[in-house]
Amino acid sequence: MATSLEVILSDPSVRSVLINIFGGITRCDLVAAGILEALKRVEATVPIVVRLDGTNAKEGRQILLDAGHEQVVPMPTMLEAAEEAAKLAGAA
Amino acid sequence: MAILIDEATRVVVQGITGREGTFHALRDRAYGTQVVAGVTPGKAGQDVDGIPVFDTVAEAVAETHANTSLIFVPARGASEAILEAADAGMRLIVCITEGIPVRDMATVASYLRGHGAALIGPNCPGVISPGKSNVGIIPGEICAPGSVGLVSRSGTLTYQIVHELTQRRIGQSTCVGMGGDPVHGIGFIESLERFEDDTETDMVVMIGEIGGDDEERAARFIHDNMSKPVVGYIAGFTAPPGKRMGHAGAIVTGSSGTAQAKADALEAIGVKVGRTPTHVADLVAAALA
Repeated sequence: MATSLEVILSDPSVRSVLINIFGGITRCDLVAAGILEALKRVEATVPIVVRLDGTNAKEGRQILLDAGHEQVVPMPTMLEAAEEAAKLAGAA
Repeated sequence: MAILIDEATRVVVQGITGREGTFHALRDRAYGTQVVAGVTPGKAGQDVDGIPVFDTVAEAVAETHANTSLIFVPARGASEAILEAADAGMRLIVCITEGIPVRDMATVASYLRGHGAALIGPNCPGVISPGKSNVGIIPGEICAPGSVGLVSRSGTLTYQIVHELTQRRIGQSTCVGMGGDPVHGIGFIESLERFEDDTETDMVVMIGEIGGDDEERAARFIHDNMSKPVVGYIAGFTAPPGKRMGHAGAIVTGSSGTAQAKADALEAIGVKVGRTPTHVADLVAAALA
């Protein structure tokens, strides 16, 4: 997660990022930790919309909430997350 | 009833001492599944939070009467693990492992034809009969007991569609994640057949994706054999030809295997095909109303 986010954020044409995870074998707490890890390595100049559901989703959402990173925008559903990411891309 | 697994299912987890094996064995047990044994060669006598570990599936069966195997063994040993489970008399083998070589799976598939064992996977999320048993990695908390059967080539789309059904208070009899590999065990037809015969299932959702002709063959089967309504979904309408999309089996080759061709085949025999997971849930709700 950290490495892929680094790659995406290094592209100057990216105006918003959508992370959409419904975890089965993927654990949302590890995803959340990976997002925060990436943000330590690379500066986020665009909003990152995150939807977490499935395995350890509650823990993952809490990790993002506690971190309170200004560019991380948690959304509850896939549809709302997609709409928000599109809106933020348009506004940027 | 449900299909494939229920309260009587007794699970042995092959690869239980690995990271994923331990995590999901304990999660399935917490869901209420009878996880009676684990197998890791060389670790007999140990236990994973009280679940006894054996060297071989045969020993695990002799001690615990397991009848279903759940496999988390890494790819290089996973095909051997399937053969071992079949030889030990498992009636159902669920293989989660991703990355088993196609040639290994071709050998396994031909070997299993001579046995009574049914295989789900590999490269799949497993199977759940909500409220009864969970054999695999599908998050149990998004499911609810009910009368909709579901069979899918995609793990994440299974979760999304099940979640949307549950949010509409539409429960499921059994959800089968058949996996995304080109050579696999139980597919659409074997699942549809079982759902048609299952008294607890009133309708079926089938989730396909690009590549192969499983959906087209399923359409013919539905036309000839299914009395229960079926709602479909096909992933990959925007997939470019020749590019593998995540799953090994998800590739459009030449003019065949496209999402449009599959949706057309299903719609031609009267199966409604949703264009988004939300649309699928809406179609199911309308059919049940």
